[in-house]
Amino acid sequence: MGSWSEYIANVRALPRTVWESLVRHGAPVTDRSRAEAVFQNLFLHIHPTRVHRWSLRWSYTMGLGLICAASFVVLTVTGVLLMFYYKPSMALAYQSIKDIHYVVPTGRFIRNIHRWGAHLMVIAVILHMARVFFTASYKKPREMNWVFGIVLLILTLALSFSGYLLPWDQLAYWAVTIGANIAQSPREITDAAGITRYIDIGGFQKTLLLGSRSVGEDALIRFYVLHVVFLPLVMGVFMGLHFWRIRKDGGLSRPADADRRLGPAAEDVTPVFTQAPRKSYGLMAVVRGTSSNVGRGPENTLPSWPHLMTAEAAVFMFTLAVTVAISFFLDAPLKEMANPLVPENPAKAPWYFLGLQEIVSFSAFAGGVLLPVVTLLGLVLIPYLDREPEGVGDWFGAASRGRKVALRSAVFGLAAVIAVEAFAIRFGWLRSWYPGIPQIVITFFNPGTVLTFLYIAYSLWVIRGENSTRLGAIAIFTCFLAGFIVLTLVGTWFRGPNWEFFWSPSRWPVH
Amino acid sequence: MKKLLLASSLVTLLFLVASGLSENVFVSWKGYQKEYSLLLAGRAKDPERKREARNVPIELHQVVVPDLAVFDRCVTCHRGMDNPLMAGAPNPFRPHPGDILNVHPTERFGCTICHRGQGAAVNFREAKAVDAYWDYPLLPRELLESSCGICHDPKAMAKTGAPVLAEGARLFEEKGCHGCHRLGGLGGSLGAALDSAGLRTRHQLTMANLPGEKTTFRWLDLHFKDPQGIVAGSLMKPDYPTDEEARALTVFMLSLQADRELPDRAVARDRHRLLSVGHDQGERDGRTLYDRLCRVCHGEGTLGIFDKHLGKFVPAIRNPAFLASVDRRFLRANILAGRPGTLMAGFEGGLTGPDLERLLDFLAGGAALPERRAQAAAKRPAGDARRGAAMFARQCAGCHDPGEKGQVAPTLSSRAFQENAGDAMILATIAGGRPGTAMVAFSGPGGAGLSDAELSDLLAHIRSLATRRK
Repeated sequence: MGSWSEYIANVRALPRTVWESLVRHGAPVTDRSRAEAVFQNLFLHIHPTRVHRWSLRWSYTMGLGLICAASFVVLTVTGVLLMFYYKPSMALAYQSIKDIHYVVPTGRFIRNIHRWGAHLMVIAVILHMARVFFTASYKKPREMNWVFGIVLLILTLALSFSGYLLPWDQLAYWAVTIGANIAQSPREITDAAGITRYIDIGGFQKTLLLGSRSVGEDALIRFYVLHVVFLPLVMGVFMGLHFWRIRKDGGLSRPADADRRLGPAAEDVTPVFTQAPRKSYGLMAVVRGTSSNVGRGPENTLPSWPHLMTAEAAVFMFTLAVTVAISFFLDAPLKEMANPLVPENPAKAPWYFLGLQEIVSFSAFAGGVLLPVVTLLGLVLIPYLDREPEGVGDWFGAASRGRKVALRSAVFGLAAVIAVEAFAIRFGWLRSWYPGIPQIVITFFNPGTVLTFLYIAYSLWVIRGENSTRLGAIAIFTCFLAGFIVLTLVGTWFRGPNWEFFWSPSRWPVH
Repeated sequence: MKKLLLASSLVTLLFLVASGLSENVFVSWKGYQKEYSLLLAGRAKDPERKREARNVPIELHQVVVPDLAVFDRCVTCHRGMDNPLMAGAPNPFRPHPGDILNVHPTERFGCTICHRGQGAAVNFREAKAVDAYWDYPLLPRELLESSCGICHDPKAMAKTGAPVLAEGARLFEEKGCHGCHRLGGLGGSLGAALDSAGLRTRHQLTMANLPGEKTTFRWLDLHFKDPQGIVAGSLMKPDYPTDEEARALTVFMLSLQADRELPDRAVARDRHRLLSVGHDQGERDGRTLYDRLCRVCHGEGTLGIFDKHLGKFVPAIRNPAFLASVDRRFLRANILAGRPGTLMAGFEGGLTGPDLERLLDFLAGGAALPERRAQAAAKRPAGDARRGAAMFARQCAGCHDPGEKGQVAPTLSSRAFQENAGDAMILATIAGGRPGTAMVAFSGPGGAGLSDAELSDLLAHIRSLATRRK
């Protein structure tokens, strides 16, 4: 009889016991249970149990890193949904996109989210990089995490570009044809040296990218596998590394005097450290803390549950809200089916490559290989060439000099790029004056290389004049950002058929 | 923070629900199907049928014809397509007009094979696909006959359903379009070959000067009426066709889809014959060939013509004096290779061997035209090219100046001329002139009085032009 009543009681307790076996800590009302809510959860335990108030300030992070991660999640989910219907073959790909568009329930919406989400992610990644740079968060001990960030930037662009081909429409076909020709551009150098017959790096790269001589079945499968398996896996690995490093490097960067500047927390904030630890938990939570925390709580930290969790959920939902709102009103582009006989004019790469395509219009090698390599190398080297410890955790460094240099550099960067572009558009470049000039001259002397030279010279001048490597870094980063923005705008809006200049796309000749 | 979370979540939820509804519930084709089922129920005779009509499931319909690469969802809205009960109903419920579906059932041919448009689309704007990133927008009703020509011989359709198409095919030959455009293995190379003209997309045509909707069929129609107005600088002769003629030609152009892969079962027997022996069954006499290929520029060919449109003199190729000075070999070479520097483009590949001989017979007009004219006896003083040059500059360069663009007479330095015109022919032409053209006789009775020596000098100079060619 005792077993029977026990059985009844068990049945009654079923919801509670199942829940308790799932979530093995109590309601998150004490410091301990709040901490447990985070570190006893597989998905949350990458977070610290307590987070510094500085890291939660909107004005500091603007949630940009989270937006990137949130976009990735959204893209993964919608991407997997699209994979159920997409058929990666030349004969079926376009038709399957049309089917997704017209007959798959809500397929159009899902595809829109995937397309616009990808663009948002690229924007967010660039802005996140700018945030990290301008708050000097790449400095010791975060140098390698900055480098991982650059890897993530490259992966984001590669993911977006590999996805570009999949709809197999005219836009995709010709954008990727351009990309493949850029991959082939080292021939500009080997041709000039007359060694293409022996070492054809360009041809090898193009074949590696496309799997054949031109964009076709092999290229489609290749891009598909890269897009849905290889790149997302690598991305996952590097995202893991990136997040892990944030923890290991002591959380988000903050100024040394953050505690003093924040002052005491407001009264209504969820309790700030109610239980002083009886032993050091430096091993678990504050690996890189400089002092032992025995006998006192880490001031100015808040429990991650609920503060960080709410913030993350808010940013995630905000990203999703923006993406679905855009996707509801705007359809993702889908042009005519790819037709190798009818070239698009102008054939444009995805927008984030149009700055480079602007340089490519002078020299494929300069725009497609030389400048990207120089830029990425420069980005990677920044934390190693600027090792001044001051200014970490503040926008432009708290001192007014940083802000001024950033402003001055922005003005210089914009003026230089606009002047060089206006000159090239108004008067042409070497080829227009000396039609017989060897291409190798233009490879190394074109608006892109001229600008790079100007920007590097300017930043070296700032380093010497201001006697600060940090200010030099600010100068060159700001200049490159300005150059990137202006060249991208020119490539997007002011270039028409035959890559000629037009004040607006509405003035393009209708062909 | 919590407010942002709440607001974002609500916005997300709102758009998820909204898109779920707009893409799955409030779609136009479902509305049409409901309307159709009500209409059908209203028209049904007995209660059994009425109930059936009311309970028709609302679902997507499509016609899939794999060997024609057809996936057409048109029948999702056009439910009454094969239902005689729906006669007189408003579109999209009306039955298909005529009895064409008896011969071409939808399940074997689909819809877009004839109507064009985007079969995958499930709303009318995108199915019509004008300005919608689709290569072949819906054809207007008056151009529909063009699609018959995909599988049938246009000329065989005059009395069997496609009179406009047949008329277009006839006009194409009558107006001498073959003179510049190659079609079915016949024609010149000055204009574009037209075997797949009907497959061209709007991106392959110059749309800059086309007002209104940028469709290939509007382009064709207006281009027939005003070639230079649509393509600035086009060499195509304005023919001022009537609206009906332009429409017939447009229909014929749209029907030309040689590159389209079709399953054998879809191609009519007359079309197989057409593909194997050409557009007029290979039976062409010399007169017909002349009218199709030459007349558009050379006219009747007995008198030299100044063509106002081209701004050039066109030689009189049926002029007896001309024919007396040339031989078959010369004419054959000129027809096949053309005359560089003039608008006479080569017909190599646009004319079969037997056709060419028939054409030469016709040009000769019954007179004897030797394969090679014997070279005049070599009793001629060798000319002095320098003296000849001075004379050439004075007497000939006005029309024949090889350095001037827009010259009015044939280029004498061209390879075709130099290799194929014999000395005797050149001398005879200078001496005797070309009656009916601007080329007067420079020697002999009534001529300009050049001596034999001077003729030789000129010949020497003309021969020396060959080496100066760039």
